[in-house]
Amino acid sequence: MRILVFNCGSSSLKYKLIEIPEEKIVAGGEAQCVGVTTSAPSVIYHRLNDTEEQIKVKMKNHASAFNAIMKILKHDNKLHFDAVGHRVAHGGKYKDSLIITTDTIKNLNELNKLAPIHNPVAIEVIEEMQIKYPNLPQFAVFDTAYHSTIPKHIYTYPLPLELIKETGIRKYGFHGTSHNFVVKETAKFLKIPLKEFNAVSCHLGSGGASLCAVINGKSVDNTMGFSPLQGLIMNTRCGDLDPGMTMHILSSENADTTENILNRKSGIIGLSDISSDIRDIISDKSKSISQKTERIYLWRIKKYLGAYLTVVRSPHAIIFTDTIGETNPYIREKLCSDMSVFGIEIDKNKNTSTEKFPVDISSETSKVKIIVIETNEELEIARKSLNLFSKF
Amino acid sequence: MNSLIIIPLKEKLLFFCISYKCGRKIVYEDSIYYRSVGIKIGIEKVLSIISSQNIQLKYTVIRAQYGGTIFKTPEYANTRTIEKLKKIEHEAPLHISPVIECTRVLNEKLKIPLIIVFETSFFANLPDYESYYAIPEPLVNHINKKRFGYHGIFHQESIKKTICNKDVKVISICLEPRMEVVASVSGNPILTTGGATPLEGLPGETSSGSIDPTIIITLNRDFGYTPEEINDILTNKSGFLGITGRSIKLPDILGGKSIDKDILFLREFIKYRILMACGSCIAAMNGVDTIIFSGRYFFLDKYLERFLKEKILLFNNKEIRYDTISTFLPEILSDIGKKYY
Repeated sequence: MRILVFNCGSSSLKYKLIEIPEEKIVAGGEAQCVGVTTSAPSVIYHRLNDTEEQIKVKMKNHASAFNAIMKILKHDNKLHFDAVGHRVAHGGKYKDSLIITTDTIKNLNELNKLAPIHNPVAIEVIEEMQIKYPNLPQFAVFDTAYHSTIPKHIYTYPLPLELIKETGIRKYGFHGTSHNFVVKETAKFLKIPLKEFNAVSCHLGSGGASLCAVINGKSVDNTMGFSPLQGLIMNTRCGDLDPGMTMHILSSENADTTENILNRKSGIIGLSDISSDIRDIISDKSKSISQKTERIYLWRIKKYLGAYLTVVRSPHAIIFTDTIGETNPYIREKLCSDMSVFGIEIDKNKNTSTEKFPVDISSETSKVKIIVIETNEELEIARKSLNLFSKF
Repeated sequence: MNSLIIIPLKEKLLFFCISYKCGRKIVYEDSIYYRSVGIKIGIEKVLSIISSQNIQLKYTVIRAQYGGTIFKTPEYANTRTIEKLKKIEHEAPLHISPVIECTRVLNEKLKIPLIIVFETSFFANLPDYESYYAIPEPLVNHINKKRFGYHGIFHQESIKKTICNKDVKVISICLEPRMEVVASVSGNPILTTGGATPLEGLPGETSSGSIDPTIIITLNRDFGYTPEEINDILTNKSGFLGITGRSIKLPDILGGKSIDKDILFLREFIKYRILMACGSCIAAMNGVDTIIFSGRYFFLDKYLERFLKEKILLFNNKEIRYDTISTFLPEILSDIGKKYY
């Protein structure tokens, strides 16, 4: 069967048509500049076999992007599909993927407050699908679901009980679909049963980034928290910040401005004032501000890496994935060097000559494998959708 | 020889008299609330009590919680010190203002050396990669906030002891109502769980420690709490008190044999976070020679030592030495003052 997977960004809509259980990508693409006014026109990059087609089309919102994509797919009768899987960033209390019904859409709308940038656009596509294709099965796969196994003493923030009851504040964790995928694939690659597999998974993207501590194949902690703001330093997000400093900013700016500063003007761009992409910072060593930004960025990851390696205690592997994790040997080397006390030794030659994934870049004497693997959230969503399809 | 140690807090002054007559010991201690009467009257009451005890003072030490990057060592307090303190008063008004007032009054009333010792001095040269937050530079300059620790006096004393053993890589765990963990290499701190304010770090008896910044924004925007209310919640109503609704101290959690479900939960809660902090320190130093405990709850050392020995698994690292400083803060302050005297 075929699953069409949608993955919404704040101004983009990615899609992949996947044949399951063969796990073959039939077609895919991305709608860019959705709902934003830019000098570049809105365009859909549609990929089929080895060709890519660019289709310019006005897309004022994600619903219209969805309709434009469906028009492209319907145009080719070979691009049929049997069900649709949606990536939804925040699942709140949902511990697993779910079948979408009118009731679940209502429940999903209530989660918008928890992820105001990511959830509403995903739900917009779901609702448009429901209207236009009411008989087509739809499934929601949540970024937070993989972290539903985080123990209570780890997900609890030490806030007053009544406040927690009033607000529902707890650590949720994010990038769960990606962490789940790479953990399973790495366990397979290393031929270790998933329920015995321990690791620290490093999802280092050019945008968001998070680490995940994994014991017996399950997430026990994630550097993100109540929101995707907590944890590592990211392209425009500050990551961890002293609560006193947040309150200090809040006392002179309103909440929306504070949120904007910490989510969109901080992180790598906030430190460097040059670029929000760490690759630009690393490639320009001439400026002292670039060197300082690089040090601060790497240090934050290293501290969490050490923390999670200690918590996991006997990891089989460190896993690097997503844009930076997969394509930047310099960062991998920096993070893995001077970590021999954890049994980690990187092979510099293997690290710089990664061509085919997954690949082990640890030295032969390393006690912990260092695996670089491509994440594939869409494939993971397709797999979970297939599981649910049998219950549909 | 007797010294007077003053620790100004937000609403009261703690004071101690230390005698070196037969070894060092605390011969008198008390506290005075000064909120309603002012620090001047508070200090006058302190001096009156000491005078009534017939204690002859040779020098005085004030513990200051915050000294910014200006005060890197203890300092003889004079008018110039007060001017320097005034320059940084806006960075931590709740901490610095009482110190300025105490200094002024004590210099006026007592004609003996007065030394100010800062908790943050030990962290004044923290490396930039540790001390900076990832927020826009203009904002940093406006706030002038970088990371410090807030138990520098304990950490410095602890690390002094380890240096005698030629230990290079040290994890210093200060067991106070707000705990703090520091990594130090050759006597210099390179990592601290403390932050720009005492709010960041490990959760404490009433304080939240580090939380997702979005929580603060959400409490303000979606639930209507003001920044002052949020500050009160995070400082005075969170931590162990927040989780359980009861006043629970660290020894109740780590020292006792209680099977109370709240205590059992808190035990797992805090042990996890201490373990994470130690893991960060080990990564920062690529190893550890000694883990040393200090603070008023130093006697929890054996419990934590057993826990950490069980949990920490390292390669190519010699066996970790565990040690403890069992000295109370006023005694450490007195010893520091004695060197300056």
